[in-house]
Amino acid sequence: MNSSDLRYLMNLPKFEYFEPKTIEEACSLLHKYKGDAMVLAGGTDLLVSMKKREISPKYLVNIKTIPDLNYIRYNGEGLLQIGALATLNEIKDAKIVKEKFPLVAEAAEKSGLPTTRNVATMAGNLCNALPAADSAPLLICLGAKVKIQGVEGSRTMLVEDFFVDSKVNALQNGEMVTEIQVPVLPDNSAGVYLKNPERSVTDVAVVSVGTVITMDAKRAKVVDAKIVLGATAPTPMRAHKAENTIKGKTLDQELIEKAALAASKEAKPRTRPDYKRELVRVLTIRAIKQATI
Amino acid sequence: MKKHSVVGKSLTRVDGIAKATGRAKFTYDMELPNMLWGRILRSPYPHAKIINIDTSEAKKLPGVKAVITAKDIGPVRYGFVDTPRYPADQLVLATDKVRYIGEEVAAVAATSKDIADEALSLIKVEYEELPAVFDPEEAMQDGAPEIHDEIVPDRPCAWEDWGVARKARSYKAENNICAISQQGHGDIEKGFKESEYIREDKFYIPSTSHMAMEPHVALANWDPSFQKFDVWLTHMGYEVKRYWLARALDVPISRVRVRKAYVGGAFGGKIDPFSYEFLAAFLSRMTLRPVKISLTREEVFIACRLSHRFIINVKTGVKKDGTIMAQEIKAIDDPGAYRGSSPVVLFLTHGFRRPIYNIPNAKHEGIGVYTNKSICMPRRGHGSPQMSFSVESQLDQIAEDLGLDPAELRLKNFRKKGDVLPNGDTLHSCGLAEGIQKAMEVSGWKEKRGKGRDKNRGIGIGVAAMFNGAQYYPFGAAATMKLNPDGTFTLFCGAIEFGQGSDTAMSQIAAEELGVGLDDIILVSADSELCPIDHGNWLSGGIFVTGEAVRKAAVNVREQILDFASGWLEVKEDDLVLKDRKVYAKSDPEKAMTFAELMINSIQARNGDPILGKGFCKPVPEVEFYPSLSKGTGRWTNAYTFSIIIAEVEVDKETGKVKVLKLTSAEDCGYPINPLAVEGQVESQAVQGLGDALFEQIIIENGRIVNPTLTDYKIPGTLDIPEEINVNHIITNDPKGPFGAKEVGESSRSAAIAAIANAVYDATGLRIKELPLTPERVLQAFMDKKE
Repeated sequence: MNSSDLRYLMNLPKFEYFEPKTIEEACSLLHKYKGDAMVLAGGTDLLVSMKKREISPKYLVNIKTIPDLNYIRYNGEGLLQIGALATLNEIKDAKIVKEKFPLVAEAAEKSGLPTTRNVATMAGNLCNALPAADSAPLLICLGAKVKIQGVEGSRTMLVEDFFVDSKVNALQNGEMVTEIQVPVLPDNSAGVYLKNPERSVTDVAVVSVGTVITMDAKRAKVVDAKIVLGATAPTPMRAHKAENTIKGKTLDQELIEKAALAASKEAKPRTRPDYKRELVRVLTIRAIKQATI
Repeated sequence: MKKHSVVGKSLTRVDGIAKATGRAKFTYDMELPNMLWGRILRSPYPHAKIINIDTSEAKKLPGVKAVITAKDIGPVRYGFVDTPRYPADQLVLATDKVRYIGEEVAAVAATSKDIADEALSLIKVEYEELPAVFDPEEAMQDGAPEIHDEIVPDRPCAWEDWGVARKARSYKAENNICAISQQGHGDIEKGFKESEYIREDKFYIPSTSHMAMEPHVALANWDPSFQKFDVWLTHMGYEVKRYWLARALDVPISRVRVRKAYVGGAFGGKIDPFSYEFLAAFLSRMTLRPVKISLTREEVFIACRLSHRFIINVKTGVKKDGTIMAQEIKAIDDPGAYRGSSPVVLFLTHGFRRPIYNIPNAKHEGIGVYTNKSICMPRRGHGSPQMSFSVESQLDQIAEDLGLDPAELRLKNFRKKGDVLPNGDTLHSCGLAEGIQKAMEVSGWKEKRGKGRDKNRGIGIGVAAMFNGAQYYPFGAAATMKLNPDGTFTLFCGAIEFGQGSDTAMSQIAAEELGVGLDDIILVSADSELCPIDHGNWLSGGIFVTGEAVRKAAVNVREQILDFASGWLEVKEDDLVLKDRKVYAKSDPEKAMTFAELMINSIQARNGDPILGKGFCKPVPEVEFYPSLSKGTGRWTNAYTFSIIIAEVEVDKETGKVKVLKLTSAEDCGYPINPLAVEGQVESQAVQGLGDALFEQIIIENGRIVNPTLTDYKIPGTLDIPEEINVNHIITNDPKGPFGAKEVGESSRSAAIAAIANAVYDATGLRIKELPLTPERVLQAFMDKKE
């Protein structure tokens, strides 16, 4: 056993460091160095992992030197645009987010600790692609997309598809996320993100559930439902069967419990399965109720 | 009672400003000119032979100044327990084999930490894996892997050095058994025969880590010109440290100075001698440069001792009215790959319970078993938390089974002031009855118990007790004092401040006896060269033993002042008053002299006598040396502290989460020297107990600790701590303590754990017999109950 097994916070390992001035420059660096280069934004995960020698990228591409990547704006046509450098606290506190996208504010606020949120970016939270990424479930429920820039142009992709496996995202060589795009919540819709850490707040969620439910105008029937489970599979996952259980139906206790049971069966926890499935069931019941009050 | 002017007051800590402003230096902060950094290579296997260690590549790395393996120092043994029966079994560096993951195999000293780390990766160790055993009940079976060969002492044991006539013997661990304790009194069979209700339960308690904020660290500096070590450690008492350093490094004890530094928390986790301390010293002597080894949090989890893992079977017989007739305990301790404090904890699990309930017939069998896991040592309460959780849970259940109030059942069986325990210790003070009544009244026990289940709320109680130092070398303490030219005093005492408020309490005690203020006491503490002998602050002897030594030193100075002033002022001694750095006649305040004048005149008139005082204290001085650890017979201590905690909880039945709403404590510490500090001690224990009850556990899979980080090892966060922790002082004025004071550092934690577990029962009807009560475990218990 040596020090790396003991995860001692050493000085950073040696790496070559770049400060690109444009997105194109950043992408070409990432392309040039293939898998050996990593993007540095907030650094709350990357730098700690490097100090613990869990990863040792040869090249770091600091995108904080790229102007105009830190923004939070509404495009006037139903889309919230969050630049790759916007921190979780900036997003949580932005006026437009609070007023028009309260669920995005909730996703930001329930991610990590206040001190981490001052530095960590929402784009970084997605790119790390952890199964328990706190900002993912609501963004997936909302149908949010990431805008991806590469050497040969840009594309957009649903956040839901961006998560490929535990710690694996959908970025190809030479690509980076430049923006998160969140459509405005349809009328008669509400949502919530519930996480269940073992202690009061500071832990990574054992299980989390994000829900957005759209009712009809009379608020009698469920028109649409999105239920996303966190930390119960290699990626945040849609509980499709649970969603279908309540879609088009009038909610009552029995139906909610049926949907929750479906969600708990859909979950694919790798560890502590009985416990996590039960928590999925309980949190799904609570989430559906809170999203339809 | 005499009115006090300094003790009994919630005065600001003497180290408060230094700590609040960050000026207080901890060993972890310290660096010396020309200093090297040491790092330790540890075993990756739970059990393996060492075939070969190749250090050649590491030695070639620029910046590396020394590499050390067992070849360089030989098999240097040490251990917390080193008695004629149980010789020390640990090694500074593993020689022929490793016995747990994390055991020290080699070390390097280099000009930077990173170079030292790189050097470690260049050391090639060839291992041959051996079958390992992790479960103590398996380790006891015939044919289980044998963890230790016969240990043959090559020199007298520590107890011989400390005056015990018996000679060290070799030790062969049959069936991996490393310690046995058999205690009891009365007739256990008769007791059960006379019982009307008997209950038997088995409890499981995991290891926990002490969670001191300052990780373990040693900075050693060998001075070749004086052939002497200067050592800065984060520790709990220098006598044990310098004894083992001197012995391991083979230098006279006077050639080791353990220096003063602030200590960032201890909780029992820094009393053991540690390999890294010896290694820093060896490396410094090899390189003639100061060497610092500061461990990471992960290393602290793995290699700096854990609390004892226990399996405890409790069988208790009672009358229908709740009168306890008999109690039989069978405890299995799993101290890991080395003995640690196993023989001590096996005794204490019984010893700490003995003063609480009057149980006429008792039997206590304890057995310690080696396994290939990290080593266990005291943690705040040393065995009391484990046993309190078990016994107090069962008593609660017995009350429930018989339809009795659990608090009333306890009250019925409590011991009282004047009781003589089976070993001969007398309870000169005992606030149990008063304490439980106070805690019941303040918490609203009668109104709340059994009435919150529909709201998922419950209330529970726990009781614990603690020694006040023990009849055990080096459990003696002395203090010296001198009068300064400006009329202030300098106090030299060995007590070590590690957050508990020792420096403040010792200063208050001295100031009270001399009629001066806290600012008039200049304190020199915890420096082995400047201060007289001191057992250190463990087994809760700080106030009761060192504090009494300090008080006596101050009385000695006071007597000298009175003697001189009486002659000089021509006033009878009993007419003299000491106040505000002056001595004057009550009958004629004009007849007065300042302490400054007194010192000058004393030097002039008494052949240079500047007024020097001394005081000393030893627990149970009437008994020579040692009682028996394995039989528990013989006197142990002069006083016991008693703690009662009532917890209120709310349980989320769907997620299994327990929220502690309120903790009410009644603490009999005799007399609070500093009430605010007493409240701080109780609150910190209540919070630690909350962690033990709900979150904390070292998880070990195949010998590997899988949660050695603060991310994965859960301790209470601010939001987990109840807003209200209500501390009630039960003042019993122990006749032997300084100003009536007893200890306050260790027993509430045990009471809190039991109280929370019992409150969870009251809220849910679930009796969970394994700690901690994690959401998963509580939820599982609910699901099991439904089925």
